[in-house]
Amino acid sequence: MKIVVVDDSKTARMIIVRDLKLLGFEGNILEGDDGISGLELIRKENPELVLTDYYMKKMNGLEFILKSREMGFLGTIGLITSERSTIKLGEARAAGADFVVNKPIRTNDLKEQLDKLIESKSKTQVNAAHIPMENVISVSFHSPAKAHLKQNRIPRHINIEGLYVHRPQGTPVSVEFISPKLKDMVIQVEGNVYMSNKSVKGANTIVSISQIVQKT
Amino acid sequence: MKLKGAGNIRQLQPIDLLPVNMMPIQMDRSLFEKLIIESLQDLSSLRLNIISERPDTLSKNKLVMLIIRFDGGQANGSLQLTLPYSLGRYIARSLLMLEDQMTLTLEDFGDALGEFINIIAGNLKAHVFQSNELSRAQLKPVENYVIDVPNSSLICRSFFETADHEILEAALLLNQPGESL
Repeated sequence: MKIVVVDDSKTARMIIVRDLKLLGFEGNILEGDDGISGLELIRKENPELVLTDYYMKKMNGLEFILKSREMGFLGTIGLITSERSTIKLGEARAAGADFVVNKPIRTNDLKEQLDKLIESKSKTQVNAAHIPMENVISVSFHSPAKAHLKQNRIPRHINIEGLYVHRPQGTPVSVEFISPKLKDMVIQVEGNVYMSNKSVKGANTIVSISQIVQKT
Repeated sequence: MKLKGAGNIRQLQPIDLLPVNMMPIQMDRSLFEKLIIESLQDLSSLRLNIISERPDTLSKNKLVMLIIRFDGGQANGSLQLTLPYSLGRYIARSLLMLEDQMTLTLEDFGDALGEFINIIAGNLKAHVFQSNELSRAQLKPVENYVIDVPNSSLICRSFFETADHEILEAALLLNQPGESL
């Protein structure tokens, strides 16, 4: 797994890299000493995971996440912050963060988040290839949808990385606008979802599946 | 006839009448000391022993003070660590994993000790000043070491000694209303 660590403190980066190595992540850990160099690393290296500090001088962590999402980065981003309030967590998610780890990082906290990420990725890959349609309960995915998209305009045909999802009429859909202003939202399709590998021309472009829930 | 709920009535204590921002902030001293010791051991493998009284040797060394504030809460405060430069350099080199022949720059020294107190304050924050925000760390040379801290209430203060008899003082302070560091 290729990982980028962004923090303007050299010491903090060393501690994070040390913790990642303790957790078994070896080799491909790249470091950026501010948001600008972090964006450059993302552009060049396209990592699977980015860990960024919140407090940085030139560009704070939220601005960095927002810019990385705006430039089309689809990987996982974790925000490292000493802020514990729900407002900050909400802001982080709105900017495009997938998780927040409190600083100082406890190795177990980071491990928990990374385990979730790995589990989610493997589940998604397995499910995307072999999912029995009758077992699907819900599909969640992130979308750079247009800000004006309202619940009643959610398309019934959705193309998720080549995986075609059809939402039958009347299927309950819940839409959570994390931040229309930031053009980032989560759509959850619940109920009976039909999926196939057909691609639909003109379908809404969906960037990544975050979770597929199946019947146990 | 006994009124319903009358058994729950109690005499108001003086603490009940204090405004929220005047409520005492407390921290168990042994927990405070445990967090400092564990943080230092985790970050630099340095073992500290608690010493009961302030030793005279502290004021004889060239000292640096690390300060981080707990801001934006109903009550605000700060954590101050005072230590000899030599101990600070050791901690910084450990955090940065510098080999003996590698130079510790002034910038790295400040960065490492800033992160060091940030981590300790973050650990403390799970127990005290939970709703506050941590400021950026400040480092300043100590010109005249004094034990008393004016205009602040001492929540906890402890002294620690390394195997090389270097002393570290840790103090957790509560700001008085209107006070800023």
